[in-house]
Amino acid sequence: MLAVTALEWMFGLLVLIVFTNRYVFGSLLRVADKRTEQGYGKDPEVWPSVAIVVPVFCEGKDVLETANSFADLDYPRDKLTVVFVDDCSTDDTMEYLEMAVGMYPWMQLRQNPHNMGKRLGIKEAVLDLDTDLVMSVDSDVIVEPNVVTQLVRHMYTTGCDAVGGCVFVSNADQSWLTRMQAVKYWIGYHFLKNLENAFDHVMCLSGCLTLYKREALLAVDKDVESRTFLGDEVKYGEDRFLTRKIVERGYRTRLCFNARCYTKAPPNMAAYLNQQLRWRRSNMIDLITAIPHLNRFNAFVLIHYLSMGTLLFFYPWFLTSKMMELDFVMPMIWHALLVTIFALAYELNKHELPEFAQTSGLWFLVMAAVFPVIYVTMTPLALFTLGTTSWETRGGNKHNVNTATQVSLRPAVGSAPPGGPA
Amino acid sequence: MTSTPYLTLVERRAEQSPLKVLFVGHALGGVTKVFRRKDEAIACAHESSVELAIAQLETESYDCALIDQRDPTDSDKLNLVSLAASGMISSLIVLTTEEHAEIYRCIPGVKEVLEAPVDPGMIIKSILHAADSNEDCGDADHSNPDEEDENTTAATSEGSTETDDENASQAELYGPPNAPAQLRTESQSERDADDKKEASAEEENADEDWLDEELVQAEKSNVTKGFEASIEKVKEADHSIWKRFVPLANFLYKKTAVIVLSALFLTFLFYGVMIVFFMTSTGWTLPFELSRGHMLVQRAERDLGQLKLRQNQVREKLFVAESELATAERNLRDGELLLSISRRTVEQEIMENTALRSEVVAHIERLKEVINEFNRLNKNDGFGSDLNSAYRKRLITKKSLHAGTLAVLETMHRIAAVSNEIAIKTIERDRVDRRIAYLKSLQEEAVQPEIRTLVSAGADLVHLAKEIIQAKNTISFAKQEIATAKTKTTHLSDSLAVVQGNIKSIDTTPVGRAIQAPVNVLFVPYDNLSNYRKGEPLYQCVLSIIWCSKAGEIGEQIDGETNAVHPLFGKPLRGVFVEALVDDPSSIKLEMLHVGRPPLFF
Repeated sequence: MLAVTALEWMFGLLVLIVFTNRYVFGSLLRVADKRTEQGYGKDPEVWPSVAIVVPVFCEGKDVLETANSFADLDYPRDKLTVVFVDDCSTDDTMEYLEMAVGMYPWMQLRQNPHNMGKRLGIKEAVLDLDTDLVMSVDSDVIVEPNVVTQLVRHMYTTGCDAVGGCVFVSNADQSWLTRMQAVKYWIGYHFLKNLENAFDHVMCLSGCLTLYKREALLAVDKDVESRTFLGDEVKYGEDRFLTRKIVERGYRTRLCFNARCYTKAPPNMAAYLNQQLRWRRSNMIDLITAIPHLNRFNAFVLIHYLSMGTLLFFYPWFLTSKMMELDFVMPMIWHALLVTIFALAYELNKHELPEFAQTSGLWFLVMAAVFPVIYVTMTPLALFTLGTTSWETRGGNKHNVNTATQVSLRPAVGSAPPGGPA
Repeated sequence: MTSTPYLTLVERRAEQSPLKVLFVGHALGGVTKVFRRKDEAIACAHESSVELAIAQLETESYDCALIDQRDPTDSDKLNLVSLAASGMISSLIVLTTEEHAEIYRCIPGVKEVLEAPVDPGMIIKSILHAADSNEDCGDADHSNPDEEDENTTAATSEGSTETDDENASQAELYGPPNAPAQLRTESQSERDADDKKEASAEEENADEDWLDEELVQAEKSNVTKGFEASIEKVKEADHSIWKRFVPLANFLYKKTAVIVLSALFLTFLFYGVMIVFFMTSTGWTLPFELSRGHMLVQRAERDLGQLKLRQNQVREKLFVAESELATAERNLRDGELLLSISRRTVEQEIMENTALRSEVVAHIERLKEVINEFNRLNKNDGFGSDLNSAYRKRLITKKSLHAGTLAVLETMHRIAAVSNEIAIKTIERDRVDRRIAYLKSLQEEAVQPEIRTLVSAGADLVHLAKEIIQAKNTISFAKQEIATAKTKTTHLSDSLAVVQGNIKSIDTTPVGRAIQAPVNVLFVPYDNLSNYRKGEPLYQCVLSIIWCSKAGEIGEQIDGETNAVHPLFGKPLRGVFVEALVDDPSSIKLEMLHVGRPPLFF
């Protein structure tokens, strides 16, 4: 009984720390940080060369929208390279990629010799590229025309080594899930990373949109290549892992609130659960593998990071204990109160987003029920499936099929650099 | 984590360009495994014969060549001599059998001869040593691999030095964590060059690797068993404790994960089923074993104790009342006896006084007759006249006259005394009359309910009135006491009967019986109570709701509300107890029983 009370107190303390860090200190620091202001940053004297690397796997025709959005980029074209890296998609993605490259010949297409995962795909591409900066963009993402310019300006002005952009939902009105997630993404980029951003220690720059200095990527390529968990290769959560490794090496990471892109949120429950499972796995494994390197983190970020990580395990325990007692009322009231505040904040600020990324903030109220259920079910499942080698993004497990034979027969398409694996 | 000397060497190599080794022989599969166990530490190429190896060396340079000559039928010996003499390869290592080892040692240009069976670690050490010797341009200090092992071991044992070296090499590769970007770029550029070199080597060997895989499969049949065993030993020797622990940890993690997730899944599933069950079923009940520790039993025990105390008190009062009744009755009898005695005494007194009065009256009459007779005789002073007459007649002497006169006087005196006596007797008679009157009035009053008026009497008879009054009072008081005692006894007897009835009723209830020995009961929430009738069958189930069997039947309902906690939701419930007449006493220890039918019909 005493132990349970102690755990409850510890849970309360963790909630207090995380809540304070995220929503009080984080918001204050964001307000105080001029680098987060609109229009912050200046143009570099010489625009650096940028390679946009888009790892693709079973994305289908959505890659066309991504390619189209690249075509509208306002960055100097002679400094810009776009490389689609197909990781042996098992559907018609390759045909669509070929179509995209045919439409925009200045874009390149590569195909991995076998399904090797997102991180290795990016790594292979980076090793073959000689640009100053590398931008990782997910294959289902639509970027705003100024996104590269904004990221480069921010990186140049702040002197940091990796800059992430804000990710919002492009299919905000597709289903109740996407509506809920549209609000969640907005909250995530407005509240959750402010503390880390203030100390240039953002611990997770989304793979959807992040600009890296090439040297920063090369500095961690061995880590990326040898990423395993108890001997099993880990392919999920590469963006979080990559960012943490970059931070561990002493590089600085930030978010640029002026650079925005739009990704497709999972429209159905199966895909959403898959995503949540993957994120939880990546959170857990990141926390576990970061333990030997904690001394390299900023003290404030470290406290926040550890609190978040610990809460990841405590929160399901707390919910489960309440669930076993059928004591739903108070937790539900707290959740409902919190999500109502967030929904209101979103409702007041959603005009910042383009129309297709907007939805009603009321949909976020669903989160009061979904959030605890997801935590209770996904956390133990993630904890005991850390060793999976799956991407677990769109396409499920079928990507694990080794398509080396197909690849060896498939000729290189587009203007892949000489010496590429294709 | 400590590393072996070999790993130290390999790690040092790994930071540089990979060591290129040309393996010639049939045991390719095992050897390539050894070489590849450290990423890019050793790049291995393969040729099946020395002749082909010579052709390969003409097109590409290698740091070391390892020739497998264990097969005595191998016809490459002359080619090996040619290769050694050609100078194409600076480090030539031959793996052969013990009997042929001396032959190969004599061949100029052969750097080292390994005798099978050989510790596979030695193969790697020899290769690395040979490569180091090449780099050191024939430094004599490193000619003996064993010496280097010792040096390396010593260096390795200095943990801090090793750590510093690692940090230094990391710093060289990546630059310090907070180094300026330029510095990092410089160090990175060196690394880029290495990476590009590695990449190009990998690309060049890519196709060969695919071929290698095929060759590995093709030549597995030619692999010497001893060598394969040696390869396994190399793996074991090279892996640090952690690396050896990883597969075990992986295995344990995955097995644990399967078990835990299965358990969690089943738990969630079961929990969901139980929620549905409890929301829909009204046939469940919670078995209890009522014994002295239970609250209800304690309460019954307390009530029973109070009733028994009350019973004893009533009995005690009844006893006192009966005793009082007996005392009153005895008092009544005593009073009546005393009254009777008094009355007889009065009667006796009356009789005596009556007799006394008669005697006194007779005495008075006799005295009056004496007086009357004397008066008649002495009428007109007859005696004096007679005397005088006789004297005058001188019938008598004077003396006789005087004597006669004196005698008359004396008689008169006596008559006077008799008169006095009559007066006295009259007084006495009156007194006796008063006594008789008193006694008679006393006698009359004695039969009256209470004494109201008594004629006066002498002091000697007051005690009689007092005794009669006391007796009458005693009788009266005793009668009152008897009446009171009888009433009290009746009431107390009634009370005792009630208390005894209560005690009996508590004693016969299950709760009362639980005071003496445990009694099996079922807690039935009010919502489920309508299903519980005496004689309904009871079922016990595995895991609360499945695989049920008959356990007994329902008994009497126990009066009084009781509380219990919901078995799943943990909420307090109100309900009653009913007695459980179970066939198997162990079923009462289950968490739940069901009435009427099994909840899932099986």
